[in-house]
Amino acid sequence: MKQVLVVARHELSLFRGIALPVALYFVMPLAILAFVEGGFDVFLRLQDPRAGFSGADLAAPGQATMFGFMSLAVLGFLFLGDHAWGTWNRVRSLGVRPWQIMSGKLGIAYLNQLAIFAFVMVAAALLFNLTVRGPVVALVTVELAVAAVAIGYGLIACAVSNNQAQFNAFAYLGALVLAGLGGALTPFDTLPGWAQAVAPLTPTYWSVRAFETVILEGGGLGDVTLELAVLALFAATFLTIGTFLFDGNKQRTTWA
Amino acid sequence: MVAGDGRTEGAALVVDDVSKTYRQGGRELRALDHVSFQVAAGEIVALLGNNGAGKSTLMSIIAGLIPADGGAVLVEGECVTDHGGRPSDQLGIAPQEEAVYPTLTVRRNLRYFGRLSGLKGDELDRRIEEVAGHLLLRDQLDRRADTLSGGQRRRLHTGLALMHRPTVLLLDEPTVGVDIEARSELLDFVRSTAAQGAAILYSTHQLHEVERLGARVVVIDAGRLLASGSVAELVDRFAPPLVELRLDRDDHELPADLLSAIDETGWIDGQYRLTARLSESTVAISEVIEYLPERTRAGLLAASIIVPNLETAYHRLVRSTRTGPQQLDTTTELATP
Repeated sequence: MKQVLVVARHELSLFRGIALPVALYFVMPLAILAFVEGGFDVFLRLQDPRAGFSGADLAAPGQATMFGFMSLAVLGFLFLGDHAWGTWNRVRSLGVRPWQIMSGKLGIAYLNQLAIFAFVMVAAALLFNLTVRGPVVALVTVELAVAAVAIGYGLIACAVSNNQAQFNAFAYLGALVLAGLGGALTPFDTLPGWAQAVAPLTPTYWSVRAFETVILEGGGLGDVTLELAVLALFAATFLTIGTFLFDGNKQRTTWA
Repeated sequence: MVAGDGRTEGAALVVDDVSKTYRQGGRELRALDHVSFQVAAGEIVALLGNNGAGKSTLMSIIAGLIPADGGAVLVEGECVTDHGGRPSDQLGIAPQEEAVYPTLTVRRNLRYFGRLSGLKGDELDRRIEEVAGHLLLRDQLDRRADTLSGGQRRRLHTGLALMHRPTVLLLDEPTVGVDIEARSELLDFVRSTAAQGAAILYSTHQLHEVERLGARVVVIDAGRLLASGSVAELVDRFAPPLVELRLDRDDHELPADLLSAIDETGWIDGQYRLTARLSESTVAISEVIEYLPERTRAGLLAASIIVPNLETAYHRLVRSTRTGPQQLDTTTELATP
């Protein structure tokens, strides 16, 4: 555990070393929110004109989740960087096991997911009148589960990617597809029928459902039990698949 | 061939009958073939071999990074080749490929490796200063690694292996890209580290460094151990002193005993060059100088004694292994133009 913490602390230093690209994943959801919030606002008013919902109530958690998935590219950059810089084996030669290195990396990536979500939600509340009607503890619990899903997804990406291009495809395309199908890009009810049919197969569908319940309907933990259970199942499945596929001896490069 | 010098147990590093074969696309490449040697505490052993000889594979197996197919590696008595490779915390490695974090400062690089090794607080800070001082990096401690010169980065790369005061140190070409002054400091540091009790396996292509380090030598080629011993032993065995004669033509008649010791002949810069092993010739060089003008039509342009060194011994050893060991002793064939 001590080694995991040392690796995590070091990973944080590396994050600081690339602060600008990391910051983009915090700022971009707000920039996109500025464009889409109006559309979501119209949709919510059509649904219930007297509820007083803001478009950000529905759009902000979706954007935070999507960019959270996209921010896995940073995890990929640092993971593949360790291989390109030769430091992966160098650290291992000190007796640090691959699972310890990955735990440290994933731990920081997990905290990054939470930080992006917290930043976007607070900023959306200040700038776009986002209002959380349910208890904050329920919102935080849902996000803890969503971030765990993202990290599991990131571990699979690390396991199967040989280079940054593959990893980015996995992170960005995956994030867009999952966000689109799950209803994070546009309100779920506006999705075509086929997309609505397959949406429950994506974790984002369950996360959007849970966020809607807490933020729009004021639901508490008891109202999102099913969603939390499904998200936990997704997280466990992704982490298991990633662990199974991960090979610490595999040769990887950064760009080619 | 000098090999398996029968060193006793208790060595800090024991490489015992290690083999490794890479398999790719139905092809097999024998990287290491039953290699055995030992490094005692306080000893520097230079690992010599051409590119592709198997040095880096051997280093990686010793570091517990890749599994051996057969044999065992013991670091301070602990087997690191069990269960497909298990790094030892007694070992430090500076691999051939540079491995530092470019976006971090020198201090943060050193600090990370120190922390991974269990150092903390004042002890960690002291060790960072100590290692940076030894490697002439103290003024660069707060510079990012990607702003350092090639030599400075190479020294940082070496320094990362030293943070935890390993008792067995693997240095794979540590002076590549390092300037003259820093190289000298680095070699002094390697010697002082050994003097403090560390066992050092030092891979290099710079044979003069081996002589300067006073290292024992292990030579491998095509995955096989060819020889091991001190520099003096290898030079004595494989590179006896030579007398070199430069003649203006090759229609000479040389004394039979000198002819039997002829090592190489050939034209260089319009001169006929002939070398003979001095130790095998009973003819004094002064006699040859006197004799040649009388008995041959060849004019002697120059005569000199070539003092052999490790490089000569290394080349002759590797060449003889590739062309067959009999070539070393069959001088008549070499002497025939």
